[in-house]
Amino acid sequence: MTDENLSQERMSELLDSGEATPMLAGTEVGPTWYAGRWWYVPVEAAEDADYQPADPEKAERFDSLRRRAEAVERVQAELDGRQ
Amino acid sequence: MTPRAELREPSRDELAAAQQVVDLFAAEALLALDRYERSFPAAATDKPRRTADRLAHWWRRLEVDDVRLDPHGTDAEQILAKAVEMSVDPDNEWGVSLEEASAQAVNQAAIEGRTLPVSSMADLRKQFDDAYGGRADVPARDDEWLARSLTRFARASVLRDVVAEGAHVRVSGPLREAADDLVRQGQQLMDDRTNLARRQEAPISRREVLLRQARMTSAFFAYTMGVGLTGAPMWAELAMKVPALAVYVKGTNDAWMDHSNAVATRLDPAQAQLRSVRKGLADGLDTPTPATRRDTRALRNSPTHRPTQGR
Repeated sequence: MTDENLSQERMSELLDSGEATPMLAGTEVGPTWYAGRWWYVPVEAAEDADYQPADPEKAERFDSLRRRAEAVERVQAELDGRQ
Repeated sequence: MTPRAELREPSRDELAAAQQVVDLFAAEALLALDRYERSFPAAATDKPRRTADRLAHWWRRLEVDDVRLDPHGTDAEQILAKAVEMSVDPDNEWGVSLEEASAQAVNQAAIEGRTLPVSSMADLRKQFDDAYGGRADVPARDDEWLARSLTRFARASVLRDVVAEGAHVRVSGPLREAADDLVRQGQQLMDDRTNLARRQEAPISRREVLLRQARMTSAFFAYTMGVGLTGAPMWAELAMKVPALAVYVKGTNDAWMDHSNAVATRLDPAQAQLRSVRKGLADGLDTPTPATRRDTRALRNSPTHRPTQGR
């Protein structure tokens, strides 16, 4: 682990405490917002590899994906409220 | 110290699994759109406009404008892509019909020199009916199935695009357990028909990869059906509410049976007997609801679940 990385265990603690927020609710590992930046585990890395910060270009795409994920959850909540 | 895991396969496994889930929900959304379109009286002249408005409404609400609907994808995805294109086109006042969208999808494939879509809406309806045997429990409210299936499609597409960005995604424990249930119900869940057909010939070292990919697909599928799932859901009941699930399980079983029949001539008697047992199990999966209810009753009546009060 480098100074720039976070272990999955540490990220799990941050998620539990609410300091970090997952992009996709219901995931144990995935893009996560913490300390004003996006963190992720590269898919080609080992299963238990550390989180690393996203570069600006990837962070921009993660922002866009987060907006889409939020839209899905809003519609889902509306549909669930219909029942 | 926890031993480090081996380096994983490249992201193509995750991406293939995520794309397969997108394909399934695209097919479901198309069936839902078809049902919505057919809910209008035959003489309704505003049917194309109202169908387009509904599709465009949910498409925009879900903010999937920039979703990559693959024009090279499955037949269902190609038709849905064309239907969406027509629906959100501000210059198209007429609206959309699936008949027209199907025709345009074929034309576009021909112009671009791609393989033409071969499945018609009638084929997709038949596939759906075959999977359900007329027992599907789709929402009664006019556009609710469309809204729900598009929501599942949108969630699957986000997941797919996150994976495409090179980010590892692992769903929560309860959802993985739910996915394991799905694998059991589907008996032999493989990632796609091509790999399925190769399975028996695959070297031992490759089988582990295939199994992992199958589990990945089912986990993504379970995630996409709703992150509110906890514990082991009643899959047979859920299948009634998420039509793509039954199509998925049936397709997997069909592919497995096709392959089994194809290799039958190479089996010795003992292998043939095993195959027969396996086929019996697979046939049993065609009627999942009674089996599941029976299992539930058995579970409820088991000694470990009987109330102990008053003893």
